[in-house]
Amino acid sequence: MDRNKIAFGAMNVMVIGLLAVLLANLITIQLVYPNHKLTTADRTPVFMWIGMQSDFTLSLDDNKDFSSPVTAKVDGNSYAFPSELGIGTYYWKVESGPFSSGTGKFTVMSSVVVSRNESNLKNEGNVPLSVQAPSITGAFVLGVEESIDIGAEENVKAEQA
Amino acid sequence: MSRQSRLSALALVAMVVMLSLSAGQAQAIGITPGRTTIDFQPGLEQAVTFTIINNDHKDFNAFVYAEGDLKDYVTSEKTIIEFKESDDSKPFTYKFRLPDKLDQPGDHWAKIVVMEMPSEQEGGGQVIMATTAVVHQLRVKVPYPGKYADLELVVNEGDTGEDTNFIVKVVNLGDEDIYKAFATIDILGATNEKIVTIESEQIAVESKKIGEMTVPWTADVNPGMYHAMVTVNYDGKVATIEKTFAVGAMRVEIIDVKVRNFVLGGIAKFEINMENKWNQKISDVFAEMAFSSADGNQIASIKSSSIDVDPLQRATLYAYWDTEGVQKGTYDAKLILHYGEKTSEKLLKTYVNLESIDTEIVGITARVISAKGSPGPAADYLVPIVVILVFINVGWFFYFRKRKK
Repeated sequence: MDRNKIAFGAMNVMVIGLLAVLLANLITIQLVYPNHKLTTADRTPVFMWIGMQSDFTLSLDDNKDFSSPVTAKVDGNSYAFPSELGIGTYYWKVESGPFSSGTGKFTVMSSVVVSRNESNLKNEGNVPLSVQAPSITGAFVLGVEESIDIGAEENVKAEQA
Repeated sequence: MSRQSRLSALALVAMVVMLSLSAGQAQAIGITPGRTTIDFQPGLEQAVTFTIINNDHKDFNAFVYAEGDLKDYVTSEKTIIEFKESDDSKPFTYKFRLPDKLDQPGDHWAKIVVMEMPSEQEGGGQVIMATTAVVHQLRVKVPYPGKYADLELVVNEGDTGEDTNFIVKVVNLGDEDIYKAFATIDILGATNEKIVTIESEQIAVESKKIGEMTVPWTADVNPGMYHAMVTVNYDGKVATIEKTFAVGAMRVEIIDVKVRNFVLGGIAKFEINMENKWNQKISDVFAEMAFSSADGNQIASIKSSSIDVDPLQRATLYAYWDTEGVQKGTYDAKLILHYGEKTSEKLLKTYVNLESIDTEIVGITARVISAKGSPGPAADYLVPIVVILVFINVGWFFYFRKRKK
C-alpha cells in the first residue's frame, strides 16, 4: 500500500479525533470554583465555571439530589448569590440547554475569630458570636464584623451563637 | 489524678492567675469550625479535630480546657499549644466518650475553650494574663421521647410573577418515626392581610432524620415584603415557624422629569416624578442631577431634598438649577435616584431654550455583572491545531489528485 495513502488516512483519523475533542471541549461546562470538596469560611463565594454557551442556569442545593435548589440565570461565567450561605455542605451544578457540568460539592465551615485591641472586641469570623464575660449577666450577640467596647473586662469568651 | 481532673485543675489555675489585662496589646484568636454536632449514642467514642487560627501571625500559647455539662467526658493529649509567628494555624484534637445514658432530651454541650496567652516575657519567664477566649462547641443531640419535630424554613425568593419556593425542613428529634407530616403555609401581605394559603405534599421522616417539603408559590403580587406562617401537622402534633421574605426587589421608578415656568438665566425647578413599586414605605428618597456640556465638562450638579414615598404611590422630588450664565443648547444630564441602600440612574437630554427646558430620558445605565462565556482552556490550542491539520489534509488531497492525473 502507498505510504502516502497510509499517512493521509492517519492524518484524517487525527483530524476527526481532534475535532471530536474540540467539540466536546466546546460543549462541556467545567466547574472552576468552589473547587470540588473545598472547605471554606467564605459565606458569599463567587461561583465560576468555564463554558462556551452564553446562558447558564446555576443550581445550588444542600441536597445531593437537587430536590430544593436555589437557581440563578446567568449570562456569563461567574455569579455570587446575593445572600450569605449558611454553614453546611452544598452541591452545585451549571446547566445550559442539554449540557450540564456535573455536580460540585463544597462545605462552608463556621469560623469563630475575635480580635481585641485595648477595650474593643471585634467579631472577625463568619458567624454571629455569643459573648460572655464575668460581669455580664447572660450573654450578648455580636454580629459578623461588629465590634463593641468591653472595657477592661477579663476572661471574655466568644462562641458560635 | 485523672486526665479530666488535671484539665479542670489547670483551668482553675488559669482563672486564678488571670488578674491583669495587658493594656494596649492587640489580641486575636480564632478556631474553625465553631461547632461539631452529633446524635447521642450510648458509649460513643470519637476524636474531633478543629483548627486554631493564629490570625495575627504572632508568638503565643493557646491554653485549652473543657467546660459544659459534658466536660468530664472530654480528654485531650495537650492543654498548651505553642504558636510561632510563622504558623497560620494548628490542628487540635480532643476525644470524647459519651455516657451510657443522658436523661434530659435536647442539646448537651462540651465547650472546648481556647485561650490566648503570651508565650514568653522579654528576659524569660512565662506570663499568664487575662485575655479573650474562643470556644469550640461539641453539641450532642439527645432524642426526645416519642414524636418531636423541629422546623427550619428556607425561602428561595423570586421576582414578581415567578415562583417563590418555600422549603420546609422537618427535623425529627424524637425517638419515633413520623409517618405523616404536611405543611400549611399562610402568606400575609404588608398589612398582615392573608393573601393565600398553600399546602405541601405529605412526607414521612425517620427518627433523627430530616425530611424536606418544597412548596412553590407563583408570586402574582406587587414587589415587597411578605410573611410566611408555616404550620406542620405530624401524626397528630403541630409545629410552627414563620419568616418574612421579599418578592422582587425594592424599586423606585423614574416616570418623567419636567420644568415649568422657566426663563433662561433664572432658577429652573426640576420636577422629578417617580413611583414606589415596593409594598412598603421607602424613606429618604432623593435625587442628584449632574449636567455636562457637549465636550463632556460638568457644568452643574444639583441635589433634591429627601422625602418618604408611600407604598405603591407616586411622588415628586424638586431640584433647582441656577441657569445664570448658562447658554441655550443641549446638555447631557445624569439623574441618580437614591433610595434605601440602592441607586438607579437615568441619562437625560436636556434642551435649554430661552423660555423652556425640555427633557428626554435616554435610557438606563447598567452595570456589567459578569463577562460573557469563554471556551475551555483546551479550545485555545485545539482550534489552531485542527485548522493546521485541515490545511495539511487539503494539501494532501490536492497532491493525490495531481499525482493521479
